[in-house]
Amino acid sequence: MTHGCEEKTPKISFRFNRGQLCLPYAVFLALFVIFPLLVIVYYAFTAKDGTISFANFVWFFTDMSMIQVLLQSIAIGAITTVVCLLLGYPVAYVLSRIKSHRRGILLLLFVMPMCINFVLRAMAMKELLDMIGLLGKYNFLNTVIGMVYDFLPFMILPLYSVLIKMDKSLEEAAADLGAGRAKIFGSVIMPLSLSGILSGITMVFLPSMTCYVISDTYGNGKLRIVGKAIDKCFGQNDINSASVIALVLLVIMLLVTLFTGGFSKNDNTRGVEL
Amino acid sequence: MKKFLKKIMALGLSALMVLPLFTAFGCGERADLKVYNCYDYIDESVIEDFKAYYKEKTGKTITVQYSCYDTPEALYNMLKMKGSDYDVVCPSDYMIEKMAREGMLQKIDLPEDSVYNTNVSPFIKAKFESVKWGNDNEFDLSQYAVGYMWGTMGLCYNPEKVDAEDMKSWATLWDTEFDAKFSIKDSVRDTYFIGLAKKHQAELQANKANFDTDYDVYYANLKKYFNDVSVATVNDMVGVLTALKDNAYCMEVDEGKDDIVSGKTDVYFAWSGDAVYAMDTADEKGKELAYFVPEEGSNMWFDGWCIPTTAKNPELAVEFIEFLSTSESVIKNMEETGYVSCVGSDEVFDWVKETYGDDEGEYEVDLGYFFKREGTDSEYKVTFSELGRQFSAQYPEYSVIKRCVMMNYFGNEANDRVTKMWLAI
Repeated sequence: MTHGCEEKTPKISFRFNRGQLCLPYAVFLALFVIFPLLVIVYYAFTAKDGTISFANFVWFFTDMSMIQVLLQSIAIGAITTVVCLLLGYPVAYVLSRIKSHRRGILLLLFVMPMCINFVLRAMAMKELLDMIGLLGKYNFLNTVIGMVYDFLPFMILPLYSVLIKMDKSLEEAAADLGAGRAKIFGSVIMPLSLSGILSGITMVFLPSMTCYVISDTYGNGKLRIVGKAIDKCFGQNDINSASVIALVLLVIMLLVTLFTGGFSKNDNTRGVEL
Repeated sequence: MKKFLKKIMALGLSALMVLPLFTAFGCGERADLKVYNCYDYIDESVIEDFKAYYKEKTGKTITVQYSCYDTPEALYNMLKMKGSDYDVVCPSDYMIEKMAREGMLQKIDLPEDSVYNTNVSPFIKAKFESVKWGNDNEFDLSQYAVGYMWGTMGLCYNPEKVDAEDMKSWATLWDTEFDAKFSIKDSVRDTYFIGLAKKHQAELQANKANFDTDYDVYYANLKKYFNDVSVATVNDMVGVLTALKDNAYCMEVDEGKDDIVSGKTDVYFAWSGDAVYAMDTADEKGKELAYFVPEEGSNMWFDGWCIPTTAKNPELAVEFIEFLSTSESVIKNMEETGYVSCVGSDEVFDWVKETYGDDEGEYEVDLGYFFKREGTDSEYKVTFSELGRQFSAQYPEYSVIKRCVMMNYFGNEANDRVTKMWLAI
């Protein structure tokens, strides 16, 4: 309101400051992230009868079968990530260097599988694995194939969005200065796309460690991974053990994110620009 | 003023986001009857029939909210949540015991001349009364639950690929000859059960001698071996079940019936109702499957309707249970689900005879154990033509029933042990 014109109706403007714009999300965050997290922490640190206890943690870190489950999950996550990177990087590079009007369509082709219903895709892939005779025989391999199939777009997109922004003249300059193709890649392209690689890794590694729908479908329900262990505990009303596993997993995820620079101040492209 | 308006707007927007939550949590109009049942476990038109029946009886129009869960444990978790107010739920035998022990269920006291008490099979009634607990055994299942469906566990197999002789023992599933040819359940209690059969194979074999000489001893032993959750046994089970899993084609909860029909597996470790479903589906495709309950003994299970203590409308819940026990509803539900009702009225017997009976058939089964009531002398014999098929899975002959035991609730401590063991599988 301006001074001296009280007789005028004040003009209402719908401009929000940052804090107010964040309010709806803050409510969402509190209800669906913070609150459940507190519940998990509560159950992780209590025994069945509700008393404070560290027994759940002792169990987790002394039970060999849980350590095995954790290692198996990390193995699946790591292999999936490496395969996705090896497959995804060249694709993202080629896509980013294609003339602009075709690029959109090609990118769409790569992202297309994401638009098909997950269950349908999983069932189709399962039948395909059965046809070529892998299903039921190589459960670990099948699970990795399934994970790669489902998470590959999550590797391609961050890589692509970094590579597309990279100034092509840098490559030309390197070539002019006498660098070979391998040298250009190793000294120019790779370091510049590092943020894309790191965000691709986080987006593939973490979900592929826990997505037991995929390991159940392709591994014929015989593979033990962390997500499955949580489900098994829940299935027996053992909420305390389930919470401990979830909490340990959360710490691992935080560490991975920290390690891949998720909390660094550098520009980190996790979004997509088509 | 402006600032105030902005705040109101922001608050309003966030309130708008949270609003659907409250309606979901039941701040809206509550349905008159809230039913919580297992998936695919009812002919849903029966619910419409119930509404119509109730309207005719009392003139009142009621609303019914029907929702489903996938495992009894999920039901338990749901009922434990604050604010849950289901009027009628349908858990399995061991879960009824657990919930009743924990004070989560109301007693159901139906009069002698109620529809359920008139229609229920005396065999089922005795089974429900046989599960007792409390200091003086003063509690039993029949006080807390009204029988709904029952069945056995067994092996559904493809007779063209598998020798029926091999199906006589659970131990077959550990045989390398059956490597990757069968599916097992991805649920701890079921798979643990057959693990016990393997672990106590020698004892169970020896126990067979008692079957004819002293049946009471035989049955007591059977109960003991199939309810063994001692520390030593549970520890051994890691090895036994890991070997089973390594030999199995897959661990499933739902895909098993499709796998045997499509030929991915030749043997399907199944609940009788699912076996019937698999046989029906295979029949349509011109493939014949069979069902057998291994001779070492097997699991017999029961599901029943219960009223939680948090129910808002227990009177209507009783009306609903009574309506489900009428012969018309029972037949509808059996036709739809493939499972067998706990109701053993004469109308149901007539339906069974009409559905499966064949006067020229070469086999005969006496279902008196299920249908016959004290003080009557009607005969309940059915002549039929296909042995080891849908009919035998649904209504086994008494000699099969005699080798089936219930697997009771393990108790909290043992349950914890079994759960931790299961994580290693």
